[in-house]
Amino acid sequence: MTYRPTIPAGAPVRLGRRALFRLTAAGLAALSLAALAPAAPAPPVGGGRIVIRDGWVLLEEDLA
Amino acid sequence: MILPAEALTDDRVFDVCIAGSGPAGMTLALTLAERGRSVLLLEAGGAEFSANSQDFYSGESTGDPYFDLDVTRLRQLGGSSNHWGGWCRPFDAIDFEPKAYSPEAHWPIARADLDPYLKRARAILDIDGDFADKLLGTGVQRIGFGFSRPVTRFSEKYRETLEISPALLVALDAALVGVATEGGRVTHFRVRDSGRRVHTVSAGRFVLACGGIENSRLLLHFNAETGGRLVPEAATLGRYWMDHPHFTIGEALATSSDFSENREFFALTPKRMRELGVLNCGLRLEPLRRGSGVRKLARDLACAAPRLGEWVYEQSGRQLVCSRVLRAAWEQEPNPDSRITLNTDRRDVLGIPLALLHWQKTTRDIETVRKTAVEFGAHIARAGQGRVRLHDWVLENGPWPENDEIGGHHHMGGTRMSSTPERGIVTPDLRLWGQENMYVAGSSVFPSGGHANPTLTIVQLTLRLADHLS
Repeated sequence: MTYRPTIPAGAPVRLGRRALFRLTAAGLAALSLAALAPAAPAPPVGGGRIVIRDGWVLLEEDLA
Repeated sequence: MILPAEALTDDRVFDVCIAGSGPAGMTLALTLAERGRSVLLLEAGGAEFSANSQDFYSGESTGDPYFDLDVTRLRQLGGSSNHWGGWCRPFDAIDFEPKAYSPEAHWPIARADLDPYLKRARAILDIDGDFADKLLGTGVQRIGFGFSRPVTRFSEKYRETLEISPALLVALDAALVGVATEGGRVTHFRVRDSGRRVHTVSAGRFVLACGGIENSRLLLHFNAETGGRLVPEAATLGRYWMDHPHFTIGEALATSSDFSENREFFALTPKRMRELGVLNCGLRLEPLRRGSGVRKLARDLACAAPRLGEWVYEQSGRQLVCSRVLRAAWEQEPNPDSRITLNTDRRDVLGIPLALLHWQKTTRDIETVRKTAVEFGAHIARAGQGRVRLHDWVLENGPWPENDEIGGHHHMGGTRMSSTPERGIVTPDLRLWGQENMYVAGSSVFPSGGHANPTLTIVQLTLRLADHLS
């Protein structure tokens, strides 16, 4: 995995496994997702109820 | 020694005569000859591919779309190993075990009966990989495949051994055209050479190892010719014919750190299969061929879950997300209406009716892939490893796509192994129920098919037969 060197200090540059869906709100902001970050929570993990929409196997929380 | 069938003489009696030189027939011949048994190995084709020989494999199919019958198998020395892909994995223990929700999907033997032959079978097939499975979470496991590398072509790898083995005689262009039986014993095979001369071949024991379609075709024909004396209980002959359905079933957006660039395999645990009432299904995540596909998938995901989709879309440029195509190959429910019959309107030049295949998948087959795929998608989501999208036909019980892999060219069933003659054609030792000294080898004896490619199991089962015949 490679990361852009422009990610500022404090951003989760060592994301490790499952990092994509575990980024914190701060991480999202650091990744220049300011437009989304205030309203978009990190995609959830855990034992949520499964919902199928448009073929996607989603967690119920994905639709919140 | 390898000779043309014209060289056969009627006066010699072999310990064992085997018809068919594919992975089953050749493994058996080499193993028995190594143990000092005199063996005659009959190959209906020649040493190399020929269109004329392939014509004998012509046939028609009805029901679900299937491959041309003269393309999906090879009639030459080494049989269909000459176009084998080399994928290997032992069948799972659950494949052999009874299941209340699918009463025919089990074997009269256990995986433990084949395990002792795994090491030797791996050596015969030059398999790398360790078949290691790893539990990922409740109900889902990453599974291991091995690969024959270089792919074992039996006619090439074992050619020299066939030439020099003192106990083994290989007859080419030796077409089996008749089986004589008397008092529950096969007395001889009738074999026709390329000059149309028919030879009588005598042996203590006889083995039919002509492949997963041909074993049924020939037994149906010979049984009719003997007035039903060869297979007295023939109700299941040709029936329960199976392949592994192979289809692309969806895509995935996955975390790059959790998945490699290589093809990866997954399946449910046996416990979860039983809870869901499904048969065995192997899933493959493979890199998409054209570009990454991440952004398109992310846009589609945004339609279903806007915030999640946009978020993934933004991440795609940072290579934190990868795209994968999701494919499946799985166990077909044993179905008596999926079968080989004889097309008496069309015969080969020897006068034997050509095969008529009626391949018929069942509702449980699509339920198996749907429930397995949803379970896998749920695991990926809950583990924070991505999201899976399944194609409409998977979620809506069809219709089956017609432009896809379709099957694995894995011809199984038709002469299934059973614990009683009413339920199958061969005993657990692969002997024809109605004969004391004739056996059937190859995947036609599989009562059910698991999801793994069958060649490794064919060779294991054949080595077990060799022990029985030694």
